[in-house]
Amino acid sequence: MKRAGRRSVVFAEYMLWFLMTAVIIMVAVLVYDKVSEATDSRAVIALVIIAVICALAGLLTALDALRRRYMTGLPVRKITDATERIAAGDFSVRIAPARALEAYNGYGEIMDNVNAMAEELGKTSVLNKDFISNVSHEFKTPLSVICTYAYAIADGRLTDEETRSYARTLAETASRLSSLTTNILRLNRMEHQPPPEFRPTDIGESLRRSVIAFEDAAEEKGVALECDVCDGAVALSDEGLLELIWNNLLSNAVKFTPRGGMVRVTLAQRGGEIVAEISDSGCGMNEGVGEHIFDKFYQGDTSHASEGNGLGLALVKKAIDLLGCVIDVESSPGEGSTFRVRFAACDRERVSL
Amino acid sequence: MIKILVAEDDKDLGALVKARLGLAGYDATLCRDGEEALEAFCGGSYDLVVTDVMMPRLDGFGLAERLREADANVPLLFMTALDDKPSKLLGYRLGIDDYVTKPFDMDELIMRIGALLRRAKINASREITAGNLRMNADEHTAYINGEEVPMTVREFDLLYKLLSYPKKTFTRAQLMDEFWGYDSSATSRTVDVYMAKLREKTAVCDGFEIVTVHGLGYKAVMK
Ligand SMILES: Nc1ncnc2c1ncn2[C@@H]1O[C@H](COP(=O)(O)OP(=O)(O)OP(=O)(O)O)[C@@H](O)[C@H]1O
Ligand SMILES: [Mg+2]
Repeated sequence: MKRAGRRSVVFAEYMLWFLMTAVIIMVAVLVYDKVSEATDSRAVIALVIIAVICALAGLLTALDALRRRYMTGLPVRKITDATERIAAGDFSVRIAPARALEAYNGYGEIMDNVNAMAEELGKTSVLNKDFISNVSHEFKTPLSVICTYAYAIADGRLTDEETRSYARTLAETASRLSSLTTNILRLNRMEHQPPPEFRPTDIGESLRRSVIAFEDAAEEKGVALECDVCDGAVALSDEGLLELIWNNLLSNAVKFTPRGGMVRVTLAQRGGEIVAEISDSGCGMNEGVGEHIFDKFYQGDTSHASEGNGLGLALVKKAIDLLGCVIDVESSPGEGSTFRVRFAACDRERVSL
Repeated sequence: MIKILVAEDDKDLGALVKARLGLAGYDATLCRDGEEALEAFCGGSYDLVVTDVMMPRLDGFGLAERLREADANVPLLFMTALDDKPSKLLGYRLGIDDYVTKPFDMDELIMRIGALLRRAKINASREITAGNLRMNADEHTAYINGEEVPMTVREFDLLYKLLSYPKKTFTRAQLMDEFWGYDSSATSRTVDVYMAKLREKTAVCDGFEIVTVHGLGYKAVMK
């Protein structure tokens, strides 16, 4: 399309120059005819023709200036104005679609690209604004808790029992702030670093090692941990990202399951597909909550809001996207949830971990 | 008294760690940076070193490297705010034994120091005692109530490993990688067979139990 457009522009240009040259030569010939009838003096004839050519050249120069104004000057002005406003931070700028003449010399393409650039910039900046206001909110709340409690303790009028309980709250709040910082850094790293190189990884073994790390936490909470993981399920993957996925899913499963409940971890390979399931008999969630759980800072059950920041599943989603696998959730309130991750298996070969 | 060297540039955290180690019955010396810690280490004898990673002059990585040149065996524990895998791997490559991520629970730190010291003692004495079982690593022999129990080298190594890390679960693959290497004839069934034999041989032991953690692996639990 664009190439064809340019070819027709070149053709139009050729016609223009052809017409101009033709007009000059025709007028010159006609004038020569008329003048040579009136006089025999060659000098006079020459002077008249030169004068006519001068006038014609002047006229054409004016016409060309006009042409350039429409084909170069105007679009360049529009582009300069737009880019200046973008540079100043105004991403709402859109250049009006180029008129036929302005599209000349590829200005139309430049305008389209400037528009696309402004739109993209606009998107990320909206996200950043949201993100930053979320982050500052998430930081401010625990910080104000810390301040209030610390002053109350410093005041010295609390009972020992109260002091201890306040200090415990202080410690919990501070460690939540710290995990918030860690998670924001992780998210940032994943969003801005090139994805890691994938290598054949024993998915089951990585899952087992993560589950082992949760044995104590589950036992302490009185949640049974069941594990049925098949051997030899190998996929092209990355250990660090897998660990992050398992840790967050397992931490949620244990967190949202009350004492006496159960968390079940399974891994099975069916043909070319490896399916990991982490299910719990916990509080579950309704559809409205389920739709948003992968959003940054979203926490469904506000009664658990003090434990965590709602970044866990956002990290999981990011890791899933980087690995090119799929995650889905089945859950019903009061009955529990199942998170399922699917991988494409690669050839079984002996992998070293 | 067990002597612990602490390198931490943050005054408050350093003082707190020193105080808690004192309460736990250790003799702790505090240094402000890696250079100072290295000097102190060379001038005295310490059983364990706890070090921050980011410090002026000589950082934790540099300190670990120099300490390993001076003493290959002293247990090293990192206190780090860096939670990324590469810096952990770098630490392990330089020979650290364990790490805690800041902010950490003081009880956790004390617990890990205890575990490190216990393993260091096992490494030094080359011996483990659990109830009526005694294992000697130099002779590669195990005794129950003073009587020698016949064991293959691999059986001995497996049991020695489990007892060096009580309550820690090992997956079959982890055990296979360590004790069978790339001898690919071994499968996870092989590990099960060895564990069954070990259970049989240690049936009369009263100090511990080999527990199958369903779907995960094995661990030794002290009684
Ligand atoms: N296994 C589960 N059972 C019930 N609800 C869940 C489960 N996993 C996640 N959710 C819901 O999804 C929300 C988002 O989870 P996410 O892991 O992102 O945040 P979080 O666990 O609240 O905090 P963080 O992970 O940062 O500590 C949770 O607040 C909860 O409402
Ligand atoms: Mg979570």
